[in-house]
Amino acid sequence: MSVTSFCRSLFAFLCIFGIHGDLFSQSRSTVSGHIRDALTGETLIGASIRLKDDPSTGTQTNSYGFYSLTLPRGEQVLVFSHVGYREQEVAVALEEDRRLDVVLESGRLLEEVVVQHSAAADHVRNPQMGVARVATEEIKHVPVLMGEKDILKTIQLLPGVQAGGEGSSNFFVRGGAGDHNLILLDEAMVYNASHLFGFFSTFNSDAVKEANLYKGGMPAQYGGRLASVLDITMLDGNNKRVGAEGGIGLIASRLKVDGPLVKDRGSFMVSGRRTYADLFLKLSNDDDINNSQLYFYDLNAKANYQLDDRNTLFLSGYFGRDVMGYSNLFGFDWGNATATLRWNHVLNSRMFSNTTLVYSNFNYHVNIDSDNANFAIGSHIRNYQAKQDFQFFPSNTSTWRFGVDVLQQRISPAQIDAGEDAPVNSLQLDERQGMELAAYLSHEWEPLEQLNLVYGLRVSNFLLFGPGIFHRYDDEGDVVDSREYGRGQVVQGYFNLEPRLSLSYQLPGSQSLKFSYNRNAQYLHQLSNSTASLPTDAWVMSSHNIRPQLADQTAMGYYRNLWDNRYEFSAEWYYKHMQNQIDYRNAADLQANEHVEAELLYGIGRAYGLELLLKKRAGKLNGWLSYALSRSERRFDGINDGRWFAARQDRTHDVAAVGMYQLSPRWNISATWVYSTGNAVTFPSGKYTVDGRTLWYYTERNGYRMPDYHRLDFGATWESDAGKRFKSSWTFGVYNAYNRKNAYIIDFRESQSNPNVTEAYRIALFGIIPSVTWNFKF
Amino acid sequence: MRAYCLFILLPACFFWSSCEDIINIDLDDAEPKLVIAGEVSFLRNAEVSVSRTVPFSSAQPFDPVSGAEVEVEYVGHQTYRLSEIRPGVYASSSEVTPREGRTFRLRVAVGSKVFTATSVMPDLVNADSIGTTVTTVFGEERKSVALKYQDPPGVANYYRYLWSINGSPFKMVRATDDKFNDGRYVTENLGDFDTELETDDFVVVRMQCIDKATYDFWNAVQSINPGSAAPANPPSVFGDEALGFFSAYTEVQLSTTVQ
Repeated sequence: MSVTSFCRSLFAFLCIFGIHGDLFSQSRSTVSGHIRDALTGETLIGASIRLKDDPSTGTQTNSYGFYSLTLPRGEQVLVFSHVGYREQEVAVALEEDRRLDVVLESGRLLEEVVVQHSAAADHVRNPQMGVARVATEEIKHVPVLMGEKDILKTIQLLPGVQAGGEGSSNFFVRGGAGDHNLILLDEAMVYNASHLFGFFSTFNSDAVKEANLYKGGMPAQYGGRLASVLDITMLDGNNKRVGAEGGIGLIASRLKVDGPLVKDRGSFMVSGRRTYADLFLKLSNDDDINNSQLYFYDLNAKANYQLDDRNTLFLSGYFGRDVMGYSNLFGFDWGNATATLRWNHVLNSRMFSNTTLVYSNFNYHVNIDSDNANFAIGSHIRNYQAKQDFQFFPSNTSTWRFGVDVLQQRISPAQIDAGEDAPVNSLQLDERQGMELAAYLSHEWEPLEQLNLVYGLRVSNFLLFGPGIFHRYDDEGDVVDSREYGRGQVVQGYFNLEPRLSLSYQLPGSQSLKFSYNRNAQYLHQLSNSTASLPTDAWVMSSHNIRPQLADQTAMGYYRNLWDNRYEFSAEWYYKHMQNQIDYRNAADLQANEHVEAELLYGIGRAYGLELLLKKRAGKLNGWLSYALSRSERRFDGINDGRWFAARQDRTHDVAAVGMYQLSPRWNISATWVYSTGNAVTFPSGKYTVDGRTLWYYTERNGYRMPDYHRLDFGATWESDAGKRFKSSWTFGVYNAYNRKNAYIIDFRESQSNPNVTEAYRIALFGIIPSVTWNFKF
Repeated sequence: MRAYCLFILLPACFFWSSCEDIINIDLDDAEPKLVIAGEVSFLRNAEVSVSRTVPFSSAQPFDPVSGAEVEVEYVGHQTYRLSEIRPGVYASSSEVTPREGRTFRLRVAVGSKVFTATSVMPDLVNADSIGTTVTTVFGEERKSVALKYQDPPGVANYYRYLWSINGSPFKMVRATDDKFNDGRYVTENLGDFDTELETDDFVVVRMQCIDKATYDFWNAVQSINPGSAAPANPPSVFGDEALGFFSAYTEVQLSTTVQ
């Protein structure tokens, strides 16, 4: 099925339902509008709108804070609510379609806020499963390494999301690989979401409104990755008054300024962060050292302007970079740049449209500049993307979402520029260009009062384009065919149907059963044979040799709200089968290698597990307990004799406990404890000597386990008088409070006392680390 | 390139308060596996060691296999029968003299099992000078020995460097290829992070030109580091049944006194 014929059938489909909507128009009218924070004017995402008399009738705001609800005409009392906000009732006399914009007041710590049936009940009612919403406001007290608030580290405390390693902002979702996560910042794909080899994420939490992580039941508008989508939304900026906030921390300082462009119609937000570890290097007397650099920075900026009641424009951008340099001899820098332009258009009270244009780029440069060596290495990946998304609300039991997504990507794998007398040759590997076309349609529908479902289909089509020389390899990695393609010529195409289904069935007493199935296809792959996250890890597109990775995931869940909605409980079980997984030949050469695809092995994977989460969202004491029991395995012909083996991130048990307590109006204390089974690793099971050198003998991939990991962190925040215009706060933290020596690396070496004896040694990265941050806001 | 990677890792090491200690790990004892390491060079006796892997905890890392039948054939010229000169170590009784053709074949019979491999000896690339270089890293001077040579353009070359400091046994420093510097006039800085060179140290360097399979073996060995996601045995020319390599190489030996 081609894209055009798909669009044609989609249109036909919608016309039918358009008529269906009109049949009701005699007796029903639509109320629609935006829900915002009363103080800042920020739109609220996922806020709930329900009928007071019949809480089962209602809807939620979309990611732009827009809602549309079609109701019988007459007097209606609507209840607007959102987690952490005071509930608000509005009586409307509904005689015709009307617009109703509502503002909600923040009230997170009030016990009364908890008992809001409508918002809390969404947790049980919503057919979407495997999703976690993390608002920056909610996580601001969670203690983190060096006091740098980090949304990527906080999501690792949720069941089914595993940390990439000690102190790492990288994460694995439900047994998937690191490159199976799609990370979006205001809809722009972020290729490398970490700074300083993974210890900090690129998301400065000052600039982030909230993040939604989908680990299962992926909505049809998302695609391109197997395991998860992390959709991060930047703050719009205060549209009431100009304000500033910032902080001075152990390793970085931050400053954010936001305010109205035109009061109540538009706002801007600019936020920056820079680390200054290298400023201490300046104190050195040594010229090589005080000329060295080691820092990163982030700059987020966003502006929005409401043209009229129906049209809003958003422009947002991100720019961040890591810079590392030793004297004038060596320089290494890398970073992302993204830009997003969006146009929200309310076609009518039941039809919401969003048009998005995206640019995203990641690159790195290495410069070597000494007397006898002078050359530069560079690589980049960038994309242009256009998306058109429609949301159609024909009735209060039905929402349609459909659209198209065109993504053009270009990879420059490696380029070396060398002078005449350089020690290396200039090199330019062929650029690779590809296009991902996708169209999707999904329908959220409530056929019965107890039954909610979302079903949909995503159709994706990937095309790899010339120019360049493209090779085919046999099973041994030898070239069997090479062919040159011209510009714009299609080298290889893939087409996939990705069905999606999620449903919830409500049982009496605030509980529900949920089910979901989704298929995801992935056409972009990252190659890495090290455990660290390096900016030089190469991206490759699907080709003759690399087939698209596919995942089929089935999940079942039990959701329940307890004790008058104060507690949310969920249990989810999932099974995921993955095809066309990628591994590497021994001693694979993944850098600047024209034949890098010859170094790859292909196999299958499976991951399954049980995830439990008990959460208390509001009140003086809030936090959550999470537990995951899981398994993630791979099977490759050339590895472990074709038997299933544990993936590196296979961790049987994963526990996290997060508690935050409001001690007094001024003081908040918090603690986090995590425990997990060690990673699967490859250790030697023997040794041998050749040419006077002792080498390790390996018998099995990932046949051993790292020691169990556990850690306790504390945090405390003191806030100044809330009533004053200038507010300040101190945040104190202790990372790894009982100074556990968690093994970061275990390696083996010949003993210094007797070279014939071999010993194992452990490197623990972080002992107990205190931190302090001063924050201000006015 | 590898030296530059070190530069990247250095600041990371300085920055973090990492700590290191010795621990006990219970490792399995794998079935012993045969290991064959064969080397042939001109004007030297061919030498092959045959051994088995030992448990990781063993204090004897070399478990010799005696009584093997070992032959090296200089294809088209002569077959050398190797005799056991020490347990597990087999050598020819005469030097291999250069003639036309460069292909060598190794045959090792252990019990009923026979292992064979061939290696083509590359042309010699001669280093034309040797000297001392000084690099300052974070205020500390480190000395290394530099070799200079002209890499032949248009062909893939593989090198392996060994050194002996003040008469100590020869030890491999590294293996390199000319992927990034084909045809260049190359300066190879030999240094070892764990071995500090002092002024007046007498260093003898052997520069070997080796074939691709031998390079793949030693490159795999040197590529395994604590950050490897999946360390594995280096690829063996003997297939799945035995570990090891067979290298026919040419060699140039140079020496210098560290300045």
